Amino acid sequence: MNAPQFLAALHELFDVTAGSIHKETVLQDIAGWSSMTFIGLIAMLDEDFGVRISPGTILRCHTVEDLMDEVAAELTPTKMAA
Amino acid sequence: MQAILKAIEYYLPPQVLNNPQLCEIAPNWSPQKIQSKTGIEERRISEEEELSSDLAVKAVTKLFESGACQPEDIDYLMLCTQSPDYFLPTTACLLQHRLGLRTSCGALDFNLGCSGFIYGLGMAKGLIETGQVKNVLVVTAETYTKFITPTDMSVRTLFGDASAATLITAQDSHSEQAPAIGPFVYGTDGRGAKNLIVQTGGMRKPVAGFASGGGVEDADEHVLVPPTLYMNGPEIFLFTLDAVPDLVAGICSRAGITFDDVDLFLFHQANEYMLRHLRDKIEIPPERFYVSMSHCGNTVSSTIPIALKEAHKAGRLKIGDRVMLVGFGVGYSWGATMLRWAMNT
Repeated sequence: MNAPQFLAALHELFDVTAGSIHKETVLQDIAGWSSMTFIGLIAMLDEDFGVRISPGTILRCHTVEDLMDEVAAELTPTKMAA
Repeated sequence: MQAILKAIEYYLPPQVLNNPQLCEIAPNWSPQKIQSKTGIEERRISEEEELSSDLAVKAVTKLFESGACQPEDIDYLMLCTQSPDYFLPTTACLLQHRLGLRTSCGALDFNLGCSGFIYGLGMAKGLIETGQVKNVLVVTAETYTKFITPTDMSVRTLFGDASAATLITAQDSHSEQAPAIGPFVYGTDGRGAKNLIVQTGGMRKPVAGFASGGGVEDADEHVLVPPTLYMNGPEIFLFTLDAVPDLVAGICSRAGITFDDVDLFLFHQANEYMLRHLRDKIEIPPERFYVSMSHCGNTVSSTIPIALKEAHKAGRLKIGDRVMLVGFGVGYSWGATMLRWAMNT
């Protein structure tokens, strides 16, 4: 996973203008954040990155970068082997 | 002797709640957004005085009027509902009388949601194939909308009221064929109970104080209004990502089949967005994955029989077709089975 790929997936999910979401963006401040896009986010993480992140973990992520760190942690070999 | 699914009818109450109406309540939503995220155009809402039993009577009456069976043919009535008329008596007993079924007819309610139709088929098969009875009515009926706060869009966009009546009947079996209903795979995980729940109204949090203006407080001292549906959609979705692929693999293994042997896949119609994700994740061919919920929304235990009826009406099912049915949700509870289609066009 790299940052541009992750940000592109978020732009597509939330259907927002290119460049409007950055690593520093507060997750729940993204335009269009709702119960439905929350579900869409879980689906996107599963489909595009092969990780299942719990809703509680996502809600604890303040920024996009925090979420990227969670995805990266899920993708590390030790975690995958566990 | 084996159990076969002989007929299905369903009933939707006339009152419609469509996406433009929902957007009047929540102006930051658009009808197109609701449609694209749920696959639902309208839901049907029961009137205040219209209960699950009333919807059930309408659905079963349609079954009788279709000529599939008559009241005196019914040996056993099971009603799947989580919105019964009373704590007691059993709503199925009320239905026995209202439908004019014999007093020698067995009747029971069972409390399950999205997995309920699968469990109903399993019990009906057991009753018939152990020689106890010949004709079983499996009735699903819910009025979830009575539990919904008008402004809670997370559930109001999804759920609609409905009842379906399915006749399961005994037929001479042919051993060279796959069973008409079955095998079955079941599953339960009560850790998920809190994620789709009506907390008040039962014995743990009764609502008797409401008439005097009192409320019921939860652990965080939030005052809970009378029986209200709470759904943690993201948690439910995550549960389906875990449970449903294993459930599909489990029923294939139990039945000794591959996806190539399945003519139609029919899942609990929870939310089309979620269904498409599951379909792609499990790699089910889209042309064999049936969705029919835009006209009625998520009707809980009735979604599978409604979609089966619609698939049948649309000519998607012919005699002998193998259909995989998969139910999952509130509980958490899940189940899957295979049908060999036996209804004439």
